[in-house]
Amino acid sequence: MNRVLVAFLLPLVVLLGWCGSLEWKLASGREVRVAIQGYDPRDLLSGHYIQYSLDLNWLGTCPIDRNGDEVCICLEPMPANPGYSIGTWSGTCAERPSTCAVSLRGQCNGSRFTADVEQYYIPESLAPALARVPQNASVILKLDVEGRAHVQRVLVEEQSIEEYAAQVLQSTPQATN
Amino acid sequence: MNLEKRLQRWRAVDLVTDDQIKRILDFEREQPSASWILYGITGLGVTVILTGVISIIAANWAEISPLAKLVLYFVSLAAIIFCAWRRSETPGVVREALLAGLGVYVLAGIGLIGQTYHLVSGGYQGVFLWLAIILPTTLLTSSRLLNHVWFMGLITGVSIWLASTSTEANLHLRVFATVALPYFFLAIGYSLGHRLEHFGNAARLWSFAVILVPLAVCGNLAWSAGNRALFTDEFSPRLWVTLPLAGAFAACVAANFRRFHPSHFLTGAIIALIASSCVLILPTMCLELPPQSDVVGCFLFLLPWASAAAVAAAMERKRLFDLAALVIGIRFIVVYFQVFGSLAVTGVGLIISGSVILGIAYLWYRYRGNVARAIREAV
Repeated sequence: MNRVLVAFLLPLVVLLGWCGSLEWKLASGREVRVAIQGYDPRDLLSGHYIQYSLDLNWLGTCPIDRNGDEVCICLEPMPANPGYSIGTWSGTCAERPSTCAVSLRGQCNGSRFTADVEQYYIPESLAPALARVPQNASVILKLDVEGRAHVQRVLVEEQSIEEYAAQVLQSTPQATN
Repeated sequence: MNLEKRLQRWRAVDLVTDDQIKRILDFEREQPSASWILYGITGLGVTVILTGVISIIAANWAEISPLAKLVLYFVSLAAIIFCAWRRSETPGVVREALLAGLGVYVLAGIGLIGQTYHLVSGGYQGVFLWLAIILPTTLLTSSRLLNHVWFMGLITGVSIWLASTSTEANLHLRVFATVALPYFFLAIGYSLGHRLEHFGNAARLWSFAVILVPLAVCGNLAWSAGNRALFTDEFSPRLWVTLPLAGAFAACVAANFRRFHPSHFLTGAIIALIASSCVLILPTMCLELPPQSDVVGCFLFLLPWASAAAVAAAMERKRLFDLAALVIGIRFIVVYFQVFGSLAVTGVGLIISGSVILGIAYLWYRYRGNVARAIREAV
C-alpha cells in the first residue's frame, strides 16, 4: 500500500516542488530590466507566445566557434537610462572578471545569444494587438546566484504588456477583426 | 464462439470432464469482466464530461489569474489522485481509466506550469519530466494502454531531443544514445518482463519496432549514401563506455531469454534479428563507408526483416509475417530499380520492369504460405 501511495503522490509532490522552486527564484532573484526587440526577421506570435531577443548589445558575443557553448554577459545599468541593464562584457562564464557583479548566463545558438527567457505567454484574446513586439518594450528578469534568468513580466514603457494590448484593442476595435 | 459452447465441443470429444467444465465456468464467473461495451460507454461518458469542463475553462481562460489556474489544477490533481488511490485495490475499468487520466492530467500540468512561468523549452525536457513522474503509475497499471503510451512518449522525446541538436559534439552524443535506445528497451523487456508483464511486453514490442523501422531504414540510407563515420575521431574513448554498456544489455537479455522463448528456433531467429540490426547500424557510425554501398546496405536491411518474418511465422502471427514478407518484396523491387534504373526510361524496359514486379508479387503470393508452414514445422 505504501508503494502505491508513493507512486500516486509523486506527481503532486514533484509538480508542487517545481512550482515552489520557480516561485522562490522569482522572489529571491536579483531584478534587472532589459530592453527587448522582435526576433529578427519576424516579430510574429508563435502560438500564444511572443518571441523576442534581449537587447543587450550582444553582437560579437557568439562567434562561429562558440556555437552551443555556455556564455556569460556582465550587466550594468545603461548610462543614458539607469533603469535598464546592458551587456558590458561577454565570454565564458569561468573567465568572468571579478568586477562583474551581475551576470546573465546563456548559450550561443549560431550567432545569437539566448538565455531561455525569450518567450512570453499571451492570452489569445490579446494576440491581435501584439502581431509585433511593441516599441519601448522591456522584460523584467530575476537572476539567481549563477546568473540563470527567469522571466517575471514584460513591460511596454511602464505598463504591463497585457494592459498595453488591452488598451490597443479598446482604442482600435478593428484590430480584433 | 462463447466459452460455454466451446467447452461443450471439447466435452463432446472428451477433452474435458463435466467437473472440469463446472470448475472452469465457476472460475470465469468470479473474474472481473472487461467488457469492451462497458469500456466504450465509460470512455465516451468521461470524454463528454471532460470536453464540457475543458470548454468552460477554455472560454474563460484569459480571465483566470495564473495563481487561480495553478490552485485549480493542484486541487483537481489531488482529487484525481485520491480517487485513483481509493480504487487502486479494485481491478477494472474505473481503475484503469483513472490511472490513464492521471497520466494525461500530469502532462497537462507540466504544460500549465511552463505557460504560467513563461519557461522556454525544446519540448523534450517536458516529455522526459512527464515520463519520469508517471513511471511508477505506469508500473501499477494492469492495462496495456499506459505502458505503450509510456514507450511511445520516450521514443517521441528522444526524437525531439535528437532533432534539436545544435552542435556536432551534441549530435554525436545524441545519435549514440538514440541508437542504444532499442537495445536498452530489450534489456528492460527481458530483465523485468517476468515481474512487470505489461511493461516488459511493451518494452520488447517497441524495441523490435524501433529496430525494424527507423533504425533499419536509417542504416540502409547511410550505407547507400556512403557516409563519413560519426565516431571515427572519438571512437576510442567511447569504446570504454560502449563495450561495458553493450555487455550489460546483452547480459540482461541473455539471463532471462529462455524464460520468454523456450523454443530453439525462436531463440535463434530473435538473436539473428538483434545481431543483424547491430551489423546494419554500427558500421555506419564507426567506419568510413565507401560511397554507393547499395547492395551491402540492402542485404543488411533484409537480414533483420527476414529474421522478423521467421519470428512472426514461428509465433503464428500471420499478419506480421505478411507485413515482413511485403517489406522484403518491396525492398527487392527498390533494388531492381536502383540497379536497372536506366531500363525504366524505355518502353521495353518498362515492360521488363513491370514483369519483374509482377513476378515478385506472384512468388510472394504463391510461396509465403509454404515458407510460413516450413518455419512452423521447424519450430
